[in-house]
Amino acid sequence: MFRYIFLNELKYWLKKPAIYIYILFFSGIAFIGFVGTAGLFDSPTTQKLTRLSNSPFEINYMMQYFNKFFLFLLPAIIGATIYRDYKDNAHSVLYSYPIKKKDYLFSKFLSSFLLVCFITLCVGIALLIAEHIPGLDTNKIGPFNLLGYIQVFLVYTIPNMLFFGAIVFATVSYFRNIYAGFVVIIILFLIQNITQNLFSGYLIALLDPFGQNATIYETQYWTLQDKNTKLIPTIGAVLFNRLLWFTIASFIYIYVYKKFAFIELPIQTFSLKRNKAKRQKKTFKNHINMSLPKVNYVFSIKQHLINCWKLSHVNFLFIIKNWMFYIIVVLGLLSVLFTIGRVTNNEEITILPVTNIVLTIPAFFFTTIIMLLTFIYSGMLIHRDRTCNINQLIDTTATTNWTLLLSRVIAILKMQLFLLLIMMAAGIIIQLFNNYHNLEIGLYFVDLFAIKFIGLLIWAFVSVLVHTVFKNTYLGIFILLIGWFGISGIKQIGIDSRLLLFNFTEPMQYSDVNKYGDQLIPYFLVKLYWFAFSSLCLVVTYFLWNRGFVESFKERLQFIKSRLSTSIKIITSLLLITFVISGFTIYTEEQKNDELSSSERNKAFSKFEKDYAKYKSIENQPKITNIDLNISIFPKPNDLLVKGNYTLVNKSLIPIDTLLIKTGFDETTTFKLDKASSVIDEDTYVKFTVLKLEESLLPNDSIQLEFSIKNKPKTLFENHTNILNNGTFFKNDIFPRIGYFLNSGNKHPNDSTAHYYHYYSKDSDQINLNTIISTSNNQVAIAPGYLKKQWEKNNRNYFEYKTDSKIKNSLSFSSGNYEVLKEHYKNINLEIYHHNTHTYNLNQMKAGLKAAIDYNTNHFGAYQFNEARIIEFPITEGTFASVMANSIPTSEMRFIANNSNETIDISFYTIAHELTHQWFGNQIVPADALGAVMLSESITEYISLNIYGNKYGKEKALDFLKMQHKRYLSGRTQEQKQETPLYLVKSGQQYLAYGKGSIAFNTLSHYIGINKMHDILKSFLNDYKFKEAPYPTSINFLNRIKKETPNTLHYLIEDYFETITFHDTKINTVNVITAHESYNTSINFQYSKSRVHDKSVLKLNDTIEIGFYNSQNKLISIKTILISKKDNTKTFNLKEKPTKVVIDPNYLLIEKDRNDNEYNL
Amino acid sequence: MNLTITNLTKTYSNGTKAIDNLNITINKGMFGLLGPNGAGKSSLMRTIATLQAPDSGSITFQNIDVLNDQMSLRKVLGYLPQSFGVYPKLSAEKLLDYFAVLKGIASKKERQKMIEHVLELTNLHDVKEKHVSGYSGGMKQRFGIAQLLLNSPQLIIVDEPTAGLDPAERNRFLNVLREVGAENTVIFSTHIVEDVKELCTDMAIMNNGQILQKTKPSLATQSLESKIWTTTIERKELDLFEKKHNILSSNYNEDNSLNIRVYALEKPNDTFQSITPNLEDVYFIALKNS
Repeated sequence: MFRYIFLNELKYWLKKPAIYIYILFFSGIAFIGFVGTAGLFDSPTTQKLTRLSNSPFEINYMMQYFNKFFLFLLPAIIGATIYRDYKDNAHSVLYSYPIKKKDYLFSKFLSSFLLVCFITLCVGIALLIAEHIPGLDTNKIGPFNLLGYIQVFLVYTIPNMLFFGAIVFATVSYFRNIYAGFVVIIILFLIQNITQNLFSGYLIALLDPFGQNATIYETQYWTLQDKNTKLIPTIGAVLFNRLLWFTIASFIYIYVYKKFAFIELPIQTFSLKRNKAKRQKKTFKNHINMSLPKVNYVFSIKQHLINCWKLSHVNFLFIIKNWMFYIIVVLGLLSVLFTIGRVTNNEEITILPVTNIVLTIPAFFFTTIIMLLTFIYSGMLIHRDRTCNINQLIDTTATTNWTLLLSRVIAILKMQLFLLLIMMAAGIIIQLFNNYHNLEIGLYFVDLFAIKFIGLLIWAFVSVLVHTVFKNTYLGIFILLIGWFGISGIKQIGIDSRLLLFNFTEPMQYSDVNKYGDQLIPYFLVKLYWFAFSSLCLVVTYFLWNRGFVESFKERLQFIKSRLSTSIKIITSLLLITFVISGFTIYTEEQKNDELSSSERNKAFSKFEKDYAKYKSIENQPKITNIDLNISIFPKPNDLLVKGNYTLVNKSLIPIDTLLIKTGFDETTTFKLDKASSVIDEDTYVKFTVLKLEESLLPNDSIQLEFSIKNKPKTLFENHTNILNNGTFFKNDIFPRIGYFLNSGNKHPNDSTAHYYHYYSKDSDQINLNTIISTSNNQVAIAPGYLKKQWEKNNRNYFEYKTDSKIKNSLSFSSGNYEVLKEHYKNINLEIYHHNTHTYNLNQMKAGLKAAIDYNTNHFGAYQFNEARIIEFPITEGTFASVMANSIPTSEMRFIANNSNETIDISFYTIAHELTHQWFGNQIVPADALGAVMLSESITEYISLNIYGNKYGKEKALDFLKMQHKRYLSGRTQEQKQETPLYLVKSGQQYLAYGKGSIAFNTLSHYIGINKMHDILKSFLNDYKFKEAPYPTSINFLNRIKKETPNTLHYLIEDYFETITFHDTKINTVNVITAHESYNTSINFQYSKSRVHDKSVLKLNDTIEIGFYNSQNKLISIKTILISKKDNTKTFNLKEKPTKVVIDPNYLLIEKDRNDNEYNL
Repeated sequence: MNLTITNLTKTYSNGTKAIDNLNITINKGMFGLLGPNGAGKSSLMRTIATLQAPDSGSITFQNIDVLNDQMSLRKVLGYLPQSFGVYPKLSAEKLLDYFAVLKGIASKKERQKMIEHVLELTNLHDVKEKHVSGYSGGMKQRFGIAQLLLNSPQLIIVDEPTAGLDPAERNRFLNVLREVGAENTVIFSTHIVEDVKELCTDMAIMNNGQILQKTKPSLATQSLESKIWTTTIERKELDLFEKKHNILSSNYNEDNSLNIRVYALEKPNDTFQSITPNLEDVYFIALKNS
């Protein structure tokens, strides 16, 4: 019997076209996706070390996404296989046959499970074939590794299908409801999301239903090298994760198996007594008054509309009064709470639950859930009358088709709104829980019920059409899913017109400062276009609406004629007109954008790189010494006008006859020299001009460059400037720059020519700046230097700024409607320009300014300005802060940081860090070579750590250091090139410059003493302070340190600065022998270190620390010891009984795994 | 209150001719449509009830061109299909309210009044708060009548409503139907002759998509007066008798002998005795003649 049902089931499915659609769809995506990332469509890369596309890690990574996709096959195949018997009512006959329960359930499950496995295997095969086709980028394809495929299928894909297939199978048999299967999948997604946000580290790895986070956990510290070569370790987190979910799935399956019975009615878990109708005993009255009461029957259009609303309520209640929906709402609420909670409370750096953040963080996940529910419930509602067999009663009532249709659509929209309300409630709960009271209900409504809702509504309309066309609900759901995922797919193959990407809009960027900016009009225009489209879909749905008995699709098409009334014609025409007009507007606006696509742009740049490489050798260029600017900012039309003048001086000893000028990429720039010249080469796309001077510029001679910059006019979709309605912030990178601009900062610090330029701008040393800047009359404009004059003209505000001393040519300009907090501190004007509501962290920022001024003036000399001003810019422009002359432009993000928790005070720290740059970065300016940021960022981060420790205590400073360890260890895994030693750090490598940099300086300072460290820094600073070339390199600095530190500690410089070294310590055993109030504690431990790119065993003569803690977890003492071999046993005499021993309690070593550093007695 | 059907034809895509050039006029009162399973009764009723489009022909009810103005007919139509289901977890009261909205009763008060009345009429008042999905077969059929009455229909179509009901339930149901039928046109299809006899003023016998005979139950039996004969035979003699006589029906006695009823203009032989004709005889004669 088993064999019979099994084979029958297989035969049934193999005859269905759906199976082949699934196979084609999945393998097609896999194939195209793979050859796409493996560079079939791109020009080959030249880079040596790239991320391989076929490494086991990458195959695993790709398959993890497919595994999630595959889940939707489970209800569609495994669920359907059992549901089929209920749907066709075959079960009432079938169950009377002498079939064994075991045979029935196992054969059904096994056959459908095998089918699903087969589909997933096809995807594996598609990837395998894709890996071997010719034409792929050879740099992206490593050696073929079959084990990678076998592993991902045996450990993830097939177990996932088995576990969740069993759960879906059990759920569908239990409730005799196919939708329950889909809901199970959504619940699994919710569980994954909740665990990710509620727990951390190992627990996430263990509890993730799909095993995805177990892999992430096991590979969290993998570098590119590891990812390209290693197999995913499966013993450990992955294994336990799989075992856990195997157990859960088994329990559910066994429970249902036991409960399952061959009976006609669903298994009853709850008593349904209340549903039993009372037996009728009363007999009929002999005489019945037949005449029905007189009532009014109304069939007006208005009444039909009212009826839509009334009927929708019954449909809506049907959706929400349901255990599946309750579960989803509760889990959805929890997942939103935890997702927001993580960012506002649990992360190391947390932000305040300002409404905008609360709305942004869970937005994608939650709208995805609403979308999936829309797909499922619209199917349920459309087919509901037929499923319930009530359709004949309904269809013979004098209700119009559109009333029936709209009543369902409205019910779905009500569900969407209901869930959005839940999201709003979750947001408000989080805000109140955090004692945050600026609720901004208006913003909630605009974001949820205007912006998000319109997108969901468009999907609801389309999904109603799909379900009306396809009678098979799960095929309908699947087709909707394909459509939904497919949109990002067509984007990948290069179609990026808004006219073709269904209902697609970039996520809206919001800032409290600039609000939505000018994004709303284009957003709603695109939505209007798709709204008209989807409304037309609704008209089609109306035409195809299934009423009565219809034999064929052809017959349904005949409905169209009979349903084509005048009003429908009018509505359709109006929608068509809207569709065409909005489409045409979008089209013309898109055409105005002459921007190249990203691949064309890459091509243009590589062509430039090749054609203009000959100018790379022209290094001798005049340097800018004086800049005069006249800047006009027009916040409302987002326009910018700059007129300026450079004084260029030949500071070299050689005459200059060729001038290389690069102008702003997005702007229209004209310039004029005051000496005769001619253009000999020009790239109008990259905006690079080569000029030949008729008379060479002699040493010390100068030349004037006059320029004028205008932004390209903005289009509906593209703003070509950084000018915003409020909170404008832009830098001088759009001004003309002198010299060949590519490959700067890539010289080795040993290269003697590197000293001639400084890291921040090749075309100048230090400059004088004079700026007149104007803006609208409700805004203040700020430029580097001191405000000298301020006036109003033509209803605009004018400001004149001038520098008193020379500054670096890194300039920033701001304009906005700010509130200003001012304080005079030690002859320095402290000013914070901020958005009116962002007052949460002003005190911390002010404290940061003061602490940095105190610390640095105390140890390293005077501050060079008499003003320090912090200027807020919108979060949409970035999350960073930087220092530009006497200004510190700081992202909104740092203003809304949540510093009330037991976490790092990011506002204080940011400002302290930035102001410290005035000494390390502005007073001393590193040369344009590798390792430059070690002299600016690493030193500054180290000093910030000390300032932080002074302010918040040692414990907090340690938290800060721990964060830097994490930053380094996880940052290096994201490295797309190759990690370098610290002294060769490149500009983009923040994990090195900040993370490893602060660790390195801190450890060194710990052993040589903080005062010594300060002395070295100060003397080095004094040697280079305010000086022009030669500029210092990292090697200059390391040589200085070596000179000043004892030889025994030189190994630290080698390990932390000059190589990539990792330590590994492990405590094996600890024994305590008590003797007369002294405790002889002997520790058996290992210590070793290893280097990347160096396999040799390193000699040890290293100092490490061991900390001892008592039962209250208080430090008893720290012992510093010298280690010369790997295995060690050391005995210490302690005054108090230790209960915990920790190697390296101060986080001085760089270790990937610190779990074995601790030993609890 | 006349329903006129002219040249109605419907052929399904599998080739079955469900309605074959059918013509009939049905007047006010209870009209019984009698026919075996598969005769085309349900197809005819669905077509009248606007659920299915015919290939050709026309249907008019009181100046309503049914096939081209379905909405007007639906306003005066009450339809109870052969089998129907309901939304789960909804009480009779709520479900009737849903139907009342669908049937155009705009005012909430009036809906309540109407629902109370139809519940009373169908004797479901005591169970109005129970879920309809939990009703017994008879109660569910009466609920079907209740919903059908909400729009005060003038044309009522009930398709095999008594199938599967126990005798007591069937009686109750027919009582309700009788009351309803007095003032309207009621088309009542069944394959149980008894139902027609008890209820209908007019009737037709249908088979193979055609009307075989249209008559009144009393007239039809009268016309067979002294043409129906009966006798008792052995079981093995049946074949022989069938060849010789026009046997309409037979039923067993306790001793396994058979009573047969025969249609003949004159007494076939002496063993036969004259017997009062009944409606069943009319039905079988019509079927035999087709």
